[in-house]
Amino acid sequence: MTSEVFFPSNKSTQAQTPVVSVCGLWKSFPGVTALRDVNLDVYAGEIHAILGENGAGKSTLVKTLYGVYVPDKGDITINGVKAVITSPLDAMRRGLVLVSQVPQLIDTLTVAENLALSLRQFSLMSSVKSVEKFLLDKEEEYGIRINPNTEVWKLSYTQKQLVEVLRALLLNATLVAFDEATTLLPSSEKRKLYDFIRLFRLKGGAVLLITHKIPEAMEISDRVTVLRKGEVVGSFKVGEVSIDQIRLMMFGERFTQPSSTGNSERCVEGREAIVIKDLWVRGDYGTYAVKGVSLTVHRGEILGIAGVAGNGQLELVQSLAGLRRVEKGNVILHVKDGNVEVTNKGPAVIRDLGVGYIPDEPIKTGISIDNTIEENLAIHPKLSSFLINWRAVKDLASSLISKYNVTTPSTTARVKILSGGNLMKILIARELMVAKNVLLAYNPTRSLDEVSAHYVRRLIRDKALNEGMSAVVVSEDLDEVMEVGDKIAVINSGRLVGFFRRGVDRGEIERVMVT
Amino acid sequence: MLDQVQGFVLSITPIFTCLYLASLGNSIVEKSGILNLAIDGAYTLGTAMAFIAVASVRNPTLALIITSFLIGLLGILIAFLTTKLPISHGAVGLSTQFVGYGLASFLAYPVSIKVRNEGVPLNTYLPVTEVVLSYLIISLLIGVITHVLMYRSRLGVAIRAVGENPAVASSLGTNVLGVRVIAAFMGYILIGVASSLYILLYTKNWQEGAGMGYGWISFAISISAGRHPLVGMVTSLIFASLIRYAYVLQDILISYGINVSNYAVIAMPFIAAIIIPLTASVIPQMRRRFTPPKHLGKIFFSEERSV
Repeated sequence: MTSEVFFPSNKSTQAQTPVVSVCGLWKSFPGVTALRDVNLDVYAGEIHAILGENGAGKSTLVKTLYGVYVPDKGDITINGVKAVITSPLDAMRRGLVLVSQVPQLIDTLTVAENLALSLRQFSLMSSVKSVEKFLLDKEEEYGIRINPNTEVWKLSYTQKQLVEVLRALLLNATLVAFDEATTLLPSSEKRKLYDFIRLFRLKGGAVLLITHKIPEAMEISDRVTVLRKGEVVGSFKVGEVSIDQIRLMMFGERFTQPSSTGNSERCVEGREAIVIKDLWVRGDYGTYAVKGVSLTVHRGEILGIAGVAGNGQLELVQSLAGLRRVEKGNVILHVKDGNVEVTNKGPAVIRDLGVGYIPDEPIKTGISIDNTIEENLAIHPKLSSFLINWRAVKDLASSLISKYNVTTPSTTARVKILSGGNLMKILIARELMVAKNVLLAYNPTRSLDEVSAHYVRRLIRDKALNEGMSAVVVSEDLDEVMEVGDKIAVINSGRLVGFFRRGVDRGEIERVMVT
Repeated sequence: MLDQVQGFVLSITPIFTCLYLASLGNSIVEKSGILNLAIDGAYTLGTAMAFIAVASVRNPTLALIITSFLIGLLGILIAFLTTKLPISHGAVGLSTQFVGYGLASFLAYPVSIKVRNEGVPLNTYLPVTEVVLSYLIISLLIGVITHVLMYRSRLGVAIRAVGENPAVASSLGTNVLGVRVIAAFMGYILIGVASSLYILLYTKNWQEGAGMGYGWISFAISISAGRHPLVGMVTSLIFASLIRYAYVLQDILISYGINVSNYAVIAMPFIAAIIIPLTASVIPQMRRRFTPPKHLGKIFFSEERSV
């Protein structure tokens, strides 16, 4: 591989000035250098993908462009003029808009109210009604159908992302950055979003697409820049470089041909491990989110639950973990000592039965970011007693860090300095270790790169195969459900609407997901 | 019958206005995410300032304007400290409260001696029907205007947004500090008006500790109304009646053979403050309206690594 492949010489075709140009950018956080001498040019009418594994610095790069972080060193120029971006508001005024993986919208406000916060043409005293009217006209123009008077918590994930795109269009942005914003969408919904991205490019806008998924970058972008450990390791036009070469750039020596996740089909017909009967659970706002779900998972079996976000899967997993009240129905776990009814028994009792839980939002419910890696392991009742043996915890932490390839300065680093992916690895490592009988997981690999995600899924499958652990893995990423599950159930509006065996055609599942 | 209604309105209005307007102020401040633990100190300080002002300028309306503006400035200070710096809202609020208590006595006590010794006339509002009724109408009007502002205007949206999630509001393009400063200024002006009316319309004189506790009652009124300007009218009426007619109620209970101690009577408004939000929280449809802003009292500090 010559450097010419990575840095093609025909740069002269781009004669115009870049919309945004980053030159020699450095940014470090306590203990971690997130960006090292990063250079990047983004042109108008171009979709530019930034690829990289977890902790490569992708998010830090866009957040720096968006004025969330202040760079330590380096220049940002916008349309040829040097710019110091001080805040998101400042970035927005300069025509840069960020659409992130977690929709940056306020749930209790309506769509119109959320967008009113961004639209500068309305004064502080202007009425929400006038914003609503303006939005209806604009939605008509762009072909987006969302009632501006709806509160955001009632919207689906895709609709929220569409609101974000609408915001970018309304702000007349010159550059829109999508920070892993399309990763979780089912492919039909993804296409919808891509249409808007292409529309935006057609109008002369520049797009920065941040992703750790190679196919996603190849499908839509014109140009790809690969980041690795905070450095740019390659920048090329799509089609110039093969996927394997990109993998090598992203993962370096970590990259090996992804092996298949164990044997493709296993017939698991042993003892029942988890039996759920007619489960009813309420959502945050009092209405039923889970409506009469019944299912059985056998020992050593993995049940994958697929569904578009917001269809009750979160409430289902939370109720199984004892974190949400079950209104009706029951949950029975069959462990070595016999059958235990765990309905509404609370997380302490449930976890004591050897249940591991990987939640969706690790920062909220999985890990304490102000504490160290060691403390986050020691807090688990299964891993330490009243007095903590810190030496043992340290050894455990070190072994997990090397096993999962976590990028961290030490075992006593505060978790908040880790990147999103590394933080998730700590959580997964802890929970897989304590999951003697059952693992409950919600989007377990949401923020992991391809190699890490694949590794985690293989660990889950190995543990099920070798140690007889049963698992309920819910994921908004259909590929994940198909890769990890022995059985696949589809949840839609709080009900299970389809059961499939492993190896089923993707299209069949997608059909029941969205209808 | 009409006379009775009029009598009731006239007797309850002074206490109603000086509770309702302060609770309205508290709602605006807390909707923006600032935990308003300074309210009772500000209220006590406000009564002292109104007393000093009316003793020197001898015009109740002018005294009210001066006091409200100064208390409004205090709000700006609190908004700045809790938003710009990573200091706990509790620490800022409670220390401001005690500074307020101290300053109130320190400043007003010498003036009260002077008023007594030199016979300085206190030109407070006259207890005539026109004045009392106009203040009732004005405060109800301010309530309606606040409601429109909070729920129909872009400024109100911004205030609620920074209280719910300042980080998201900021990335949507809101100036968090700016919005909180505006909200706190408006809210504290209302607290200033309320505390001025406590002296100028309700007690007509100042003594050590005047107004102390009324800030907390307003706080309770605001919370038991879910920080909603219109619901606050109802809860204010309940609290005002409980305070104004506490002893009448005691007499009635005694006439039925139920012996209630004075302390229980005094505690009644506070018991109501617990019961009202509790009732609201068990009704699912009400719960969402009554939940406090998600980031109420949380430190907002932007340069932080997160997923």
